[in-house]
Amino acid sequence: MNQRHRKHSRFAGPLLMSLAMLFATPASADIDPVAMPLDELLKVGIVSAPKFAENPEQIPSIVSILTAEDIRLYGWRTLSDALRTLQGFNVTNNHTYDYVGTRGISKPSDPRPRLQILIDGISINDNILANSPADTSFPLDIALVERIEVIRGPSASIYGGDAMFGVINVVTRSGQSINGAEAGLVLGSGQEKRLRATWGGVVDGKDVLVSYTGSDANGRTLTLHDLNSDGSARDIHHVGAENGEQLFVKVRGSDWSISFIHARRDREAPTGSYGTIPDGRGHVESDTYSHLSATKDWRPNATNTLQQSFYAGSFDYDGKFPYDFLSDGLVTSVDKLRGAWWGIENRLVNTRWSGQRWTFGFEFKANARQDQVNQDIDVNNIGCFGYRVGPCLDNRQHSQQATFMAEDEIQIGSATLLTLGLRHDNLGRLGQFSSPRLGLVHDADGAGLFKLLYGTAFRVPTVFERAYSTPSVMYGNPNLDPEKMRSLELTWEKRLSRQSRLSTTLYHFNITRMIGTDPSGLAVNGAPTNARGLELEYEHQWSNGSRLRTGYSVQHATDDMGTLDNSPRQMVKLNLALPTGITHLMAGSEGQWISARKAYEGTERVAPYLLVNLNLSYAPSGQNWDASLGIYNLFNHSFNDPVAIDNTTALTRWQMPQLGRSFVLRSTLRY
Amino acid sequence: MTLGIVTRLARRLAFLAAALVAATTPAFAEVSTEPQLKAAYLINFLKYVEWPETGTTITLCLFGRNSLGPYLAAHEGRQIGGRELRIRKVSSVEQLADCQELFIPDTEATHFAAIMRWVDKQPILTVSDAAMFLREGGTIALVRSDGGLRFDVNAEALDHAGLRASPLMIRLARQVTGAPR
Repeated sequence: MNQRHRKHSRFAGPLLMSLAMLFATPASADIDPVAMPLDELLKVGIVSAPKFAENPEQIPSIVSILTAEDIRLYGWRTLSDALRTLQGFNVTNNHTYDYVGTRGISKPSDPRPRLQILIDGISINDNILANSPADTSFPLDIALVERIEVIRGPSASIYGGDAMFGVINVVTRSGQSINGAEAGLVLGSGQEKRLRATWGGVVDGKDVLVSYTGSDANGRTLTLHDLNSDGSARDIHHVGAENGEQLFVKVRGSDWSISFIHARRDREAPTGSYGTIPDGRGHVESDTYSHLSATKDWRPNATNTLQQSFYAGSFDYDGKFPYDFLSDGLVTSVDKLRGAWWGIENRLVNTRWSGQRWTFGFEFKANARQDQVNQDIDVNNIGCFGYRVGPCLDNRQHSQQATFMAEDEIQIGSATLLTLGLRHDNLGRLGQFSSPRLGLVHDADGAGLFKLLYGTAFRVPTVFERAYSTPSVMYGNPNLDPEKMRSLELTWEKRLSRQSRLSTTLYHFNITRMIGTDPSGLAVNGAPTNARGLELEYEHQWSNGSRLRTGYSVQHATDDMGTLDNSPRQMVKLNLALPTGITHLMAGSEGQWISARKAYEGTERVAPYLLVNLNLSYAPSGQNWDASLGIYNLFNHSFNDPVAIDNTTALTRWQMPQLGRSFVLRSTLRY
Repeated sequence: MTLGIVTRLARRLAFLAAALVAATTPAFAEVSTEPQLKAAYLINFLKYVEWPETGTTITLCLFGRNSLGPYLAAHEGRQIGGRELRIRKVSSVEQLADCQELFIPDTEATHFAAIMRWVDKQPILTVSDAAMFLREGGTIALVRSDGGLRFDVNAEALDHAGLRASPLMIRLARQVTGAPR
């Protein structure tokens, strides 16, 4: 406990540091090509762009772009708040983590979303769980996000395994856009406090950003019905209690960039999951990510561009699971996962042949460390109580992978673009995989834009799925086979006016040997899974700042047992931001309706829910501050999310009640 | 314990950044990404060139692979010198009638000769980001130089197209080739 008190004082340092930097020289605002004189343009320096900054109309699948303005207007607290507004996305929560599912594939509490999550084009998925967190353990403060690019459909031919359902690229704000010092303060229900100090600007033609966020929350009280054996209600406290910090540093030059991320989150899990002592403060799960990357662009000649990146990352997970064994007294089972990796990525873009754009890629990645340790600890001993003297699990691995990819984008006439891609992954003992991809984009002018994508993807079992087993938890299965996916999707996009856009996607995919668990909890390859669905989205922006985005998805994902767990048949999403009539005060509201979902191996049904959030944001023009008030679950609707089958100390759990109404007050101050 | 290290690291980096600000004079007051800056030039040129005929609209046409479209779209409909800016994608001669400016990306370099035949003697400002574009008869080439973007002008080609560039624009060019000023 005393450690928790000590942590608060850490806010002071960064705040002082940002105050110390007030003397920073302000540069002018964004470039306006109409108003700016030509001689000013000559004075603008070029900074390298993250690799996604291409035309979304040339990508053969549907692309959603969420901007910093959306984040501000709707008051999104995390990446998952943003993703759950998109059609086809289903986000669930068990009060320890958020889980992101897409297109009907969202097994309850599956830590692996089968998506690649990138920050400025560099993957941050760890090498033990292949997880890409979207909740508060996401290593970047959402206030530093410029935009979120969501590219759907199998992108394994470019981004490798885990890009089965697509890629989410989080693009960070430029230092220039901050242009000085910025302090952000967030106060929320459950005594949530989040303080951010950021400095950004142009230094000698380089774009620099430094930011630190410290956060702490005491958590909320929640009533659960699966902690007493008679099913009666029991209040648990400190749900969502956490402490964390996020550091981000980025420097971009004309043809290079360097960035460093370090983030830690300690989350309390008083819900009694995994049968730990409920309503205590001893069950804590911590995630720490560190990531360093450096990218350099070379232009050997007019038709070739080579981008080289070096990256190194580490992931530490520490889980403390307290148990009360009548015979042995209090015992804490401790998990320690330690991942470390580094790699180099080379990407050559060649435009030598007219109407063609070749991309060749070579990547080498060394998983220097993929260690998993579990042991029992009580006041006197360390070991695997009741089984052996040593730890319950001590599995240390390392591996390497090499990848070669080639893609050709062929312009056919002025209206058609054909994309042919092939990627070959050599994952050593886990096998070799070839992932072809074929895409076609046709711009039929008045009739809209047609996109066709056929793709394949694979996913190898993680070291967690293969090796996490203790004498009492038999989960890891060394005999798992890789999953394979084939998918076909057709998209139609039509710009109805300059301000509005309609898009429709029809898809079908199948996954063979999808990894799940058998009734005993062992990781196993499942029966073939088939899914098909339709996603519709309409967007409109008005000149007075109003904006509307609404989507409908219908999806059907089945295996030999019928519809999958946590696979809603229908989803309706609505985001609407309107001026309130009071100058500079905008109201952003969002609604998400998710139809009923199955849980507990298809034997239980979790009722549909409608979640409505409201965010009032006030940004006076010409002022150096803004503020907003977000009300989440506005109508205090009680609903549940399916979770992995779990045994509490009393009963079997397969769903988790969600929080009622919450408030978050945000303010930003710029110097 | 790692927390302490990180906090110290954050502080050190912040002071490093602050020291950099204090110690150096900025070479560039502002920065932008390359496609954004190219798009800005394309629009900005429209202010410095005179066309023989003036209408109510001014049209910027993009040939072939459309990589700058997203950066230009936001400015469509804005007024430039009293004319409304329009952005069009083109792929054939017939579509060129309305174009005041035509951008041909370096990826379409093999089409340069053919395009120059199409636009011959028409009042169209042709711009490319390929350095060799002026040798093919193009009017303006955008070139990367010293961490920024500059432009070369082919005065002869301008003259041939019946266009007049402002003296300021000629003076700001990195190189002026062709006819004497």
